[in-house]
Amino acid sequence: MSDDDLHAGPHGFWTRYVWSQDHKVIAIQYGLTAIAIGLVALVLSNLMRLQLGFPGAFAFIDPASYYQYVTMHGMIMVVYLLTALFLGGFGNYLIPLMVGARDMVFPFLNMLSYWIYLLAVLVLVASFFVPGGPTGAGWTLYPPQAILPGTPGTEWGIVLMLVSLVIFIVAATMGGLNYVTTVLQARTHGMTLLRMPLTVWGIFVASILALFAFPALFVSGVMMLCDKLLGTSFFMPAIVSMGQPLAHAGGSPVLFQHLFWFFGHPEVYIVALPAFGIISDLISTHARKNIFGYRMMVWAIVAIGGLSFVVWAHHMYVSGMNPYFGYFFATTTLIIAVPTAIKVYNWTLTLWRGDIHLTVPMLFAIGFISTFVIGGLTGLFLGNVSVDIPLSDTYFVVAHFHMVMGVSPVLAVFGGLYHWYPKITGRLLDERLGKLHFWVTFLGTYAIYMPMHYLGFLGMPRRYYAYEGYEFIPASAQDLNAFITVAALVVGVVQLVFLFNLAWSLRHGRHAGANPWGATTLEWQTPDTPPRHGNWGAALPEVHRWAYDYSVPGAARDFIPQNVPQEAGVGAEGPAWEGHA
Amino acid sequence: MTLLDALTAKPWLPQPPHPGRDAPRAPAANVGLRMLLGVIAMLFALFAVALLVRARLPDWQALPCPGRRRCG
Repeated sequence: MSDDDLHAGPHGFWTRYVWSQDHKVIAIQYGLTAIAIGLVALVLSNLMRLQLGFPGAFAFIDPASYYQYVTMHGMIMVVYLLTALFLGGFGNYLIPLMVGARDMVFPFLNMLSYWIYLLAVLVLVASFFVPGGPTGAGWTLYPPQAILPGTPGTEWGIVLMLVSLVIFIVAATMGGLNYVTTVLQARTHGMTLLRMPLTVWGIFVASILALFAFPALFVSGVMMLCDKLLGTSFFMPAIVSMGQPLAHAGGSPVLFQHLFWFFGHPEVYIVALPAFGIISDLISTHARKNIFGYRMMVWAIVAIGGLSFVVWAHHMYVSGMNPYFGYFFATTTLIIAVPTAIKVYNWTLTLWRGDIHLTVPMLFAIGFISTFVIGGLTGLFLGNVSVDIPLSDTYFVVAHFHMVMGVSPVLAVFGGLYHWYPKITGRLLDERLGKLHFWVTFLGTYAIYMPMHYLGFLGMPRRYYAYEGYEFIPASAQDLNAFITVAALVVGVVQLVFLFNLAWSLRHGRHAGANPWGATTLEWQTPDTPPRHGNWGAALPEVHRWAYDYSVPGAARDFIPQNVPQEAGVGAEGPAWEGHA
Repeated sequence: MTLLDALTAKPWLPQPPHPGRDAPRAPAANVGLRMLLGVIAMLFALFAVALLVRARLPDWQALPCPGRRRCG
């Protein structure tokens, strides 16, 4: 049997593109599904902004619809778009290629993971079409209001949301087991843990977080389903609803909040850590410089992952919990700023005196640093109890979390897509359209969220459908709201340029070749572009160096791929900075 | 190589070429199963914690024992 036969993929359309067990196809399936449902979330956010910018001008946006838009936008963006895209999309595509494996270690489970994810998305989408529509409880789904009459979607919507989340968690667990085990067990010869690119480190630690944080959402989801459907009272206190005492009594809504945020805060880092990894690789590659403080970057990812499990109650300072809890969680929250700041410094120092190529992926990476720093600094405000209390439930919080875990990860997604699209398709995305997409998105997000910080300082509450009759909010705030809405619409429309670019470049983009960016990591060293089934042809690659040999003194080119032997790179004496280690 | 050794390596320095094969690894299914057991343990732990917290509230009613007046 020839090598070609050994690594030939399935030949039929269905087994090759639909029921595929190839990690690259599954990654694309995950990516396309996540982007499709993400577009729904984008439209919902624009509908929300239409109401806030021009209240009452659109008759179809009533208060119930508004809360449904808020809820579905938040949940889709956090769980069904960003988590799925970073782990299922980037993780699936990049882990085997970057560690030199032929595929994930459990390919069938991998395929199953995607189809169960798709089922979760379909159940979620179905909630738009049931009586009462989707739930409007807010993405945190706090009881008791999430299952009480008066909140939109309390009949069917909340049930479908909880069922969809439970299904999603099953899918995420299948995927997570695969990603972690592949990194631990399927690295090629010479690929030690500390030779892995930071993208793999970010996705690896985020997958571990997902495996151990999602069970908290699972538990709270199942218990709330029991409260809703079986009449239990895990989270439901004694309550009078619509003038009638309900059968529930004695449950603890704060218990739900603890469970939810035990998942919810690691979720922030499930989204952020892969973004950190991707940004590190983009900056190093496009600045033609080894990443500054690689080992510290790895430790920072691990430390952030560990700390993310002990900061959850900083989301609950106003919940009435014991004040000593606030003291503890404020302290841990501020401690997590240390490894995070290390990463920001190291990105900046990697850029320092680098041979910076302002390619589209690099623009998105630099944009990420900017938005992440802004979002991170406002996080320091909110991490302190005494500052958080007056700002809690204002637009300052909305601005903060959108900058730090909305815009920033989305910029990383875009940077990653512009960077790896040539490997996925063999063609480059159009650069002019890419730059237009970047500048409008980047400047647009500042136009949206900077004024929101100010509105928060004015005390403008979040989650309100309309703001008439609040004397402490000046009339000029409405002008700002209209401005934000126009900016949000522009940013929304420019995403169509990106989608057009994705589709157009598939056939008409410039041919990329195997390694258009001159990158060192293994995915760019495959014998075929796009890589064929099995990735590596007859023999697996062998790794001889770390992932960041850029601009090595004495080397013939300004990058040395990981699979180039030491003696073929810069000579036996090693690179010039060896003595400074 | 221990995990600590692995995480304190200096990969930017030239490494000696790897003689022979890497250290043998446990089968992937073995590692995957351990991870899954960890996830399941987490699930049970969280269910248990949630139940215990709820059971400490004053109105908690234990499930009636089937077929008997008193348990234990």
